[in-house]
Amino acid sequence: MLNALLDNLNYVVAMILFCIGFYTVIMRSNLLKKIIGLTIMQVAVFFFLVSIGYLADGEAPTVIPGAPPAPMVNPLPQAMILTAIVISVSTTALFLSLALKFYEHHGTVDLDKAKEDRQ
Amino acid sequence: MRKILAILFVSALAALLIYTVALLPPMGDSDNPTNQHIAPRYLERGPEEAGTGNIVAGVLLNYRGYDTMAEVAVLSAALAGVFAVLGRGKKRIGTTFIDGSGVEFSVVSRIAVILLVSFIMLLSIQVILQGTNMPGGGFQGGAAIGAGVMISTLALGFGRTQHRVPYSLRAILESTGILAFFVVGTIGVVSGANFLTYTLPGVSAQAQAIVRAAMLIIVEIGIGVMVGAVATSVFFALLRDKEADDVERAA
Repeated sequence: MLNALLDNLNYVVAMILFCIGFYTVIMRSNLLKKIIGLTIMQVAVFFFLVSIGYLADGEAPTVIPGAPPAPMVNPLPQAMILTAIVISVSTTALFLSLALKFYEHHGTVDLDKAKEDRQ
Repeated sequence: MRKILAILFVSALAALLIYTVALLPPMGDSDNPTNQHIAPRYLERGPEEAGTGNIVAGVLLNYRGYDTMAEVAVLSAALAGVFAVLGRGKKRIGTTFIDGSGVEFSVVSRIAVILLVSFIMLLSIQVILQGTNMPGGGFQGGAAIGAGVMISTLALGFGRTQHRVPYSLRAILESTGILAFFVVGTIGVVSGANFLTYTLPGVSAQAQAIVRAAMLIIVEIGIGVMVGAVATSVFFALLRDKEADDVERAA
């Protein structure tokens, strides 16, 4: 069990990061911190998927004419995460703009405070 | 109480996930299912089938081109969402600065930032253009363009930077990625193949390789320009409110 965990240390770190992000999302009442938590969760997933495509002693998946053939890492997760990173940035911008509107409306980004003010 | 419950729940989730992860095959083993299924085919035949030395770009633009096209559309959708929530911002020439002080940076730092930004732009052009054969590509280069505009805004102020990349220019550039995919894909249909096949009608088999390389670079440039314009527009839209308030207050 311990050996398996040490072999898959990247996966373990990704799962811990995911849980940290999840805890931030459910426990923090500040909207900006919730967004940061969501971003941490996204990064954990990216890290996990890129780690899955890793090959020990593999080279970057780029064919250079004339170079000797060498084992290369899996290009598929890299291609998918590449687009996913850009998409995550743009969706984070959407979250932030919604948080900005929330601030304009309530004068705070804290959900608990906004609830108290309403009562 | 709520906190203890949350910590217990998250710990249980972590334990479950880590237990599952321990059952996965060791990372980096060449016998892993992920390295057995379709990756060898991409790695062996990628350069000849997709026409790119950089196999990541081949997967992105050719093997899974539809996927990338849809992701570029998601980028547009997120941008539309930001504009719907915040509004695009009016065409204004303000001179206020990010910290709202109205005092310009010193000449030294302004010149340094202008130099830095010009090198960032140069780097991003190279990253976009070499993307098909070397590490790089449209998404990375576009992110570098966006970073350059942001640094310039931080040092030179909103008005002066927005003057360089005006609204009318960005409105066109924000759609280049989808347009490039659409035009190149439709040319493939006209030549009798499927959508997004990177072929041109009435061209000999030898010239077809050159045509394919040119079309891949067109799509890369479209994606790069689009990602840069979207990053810039989102940044300006998020800045807009405070700046507009400041201008109104000053008036």
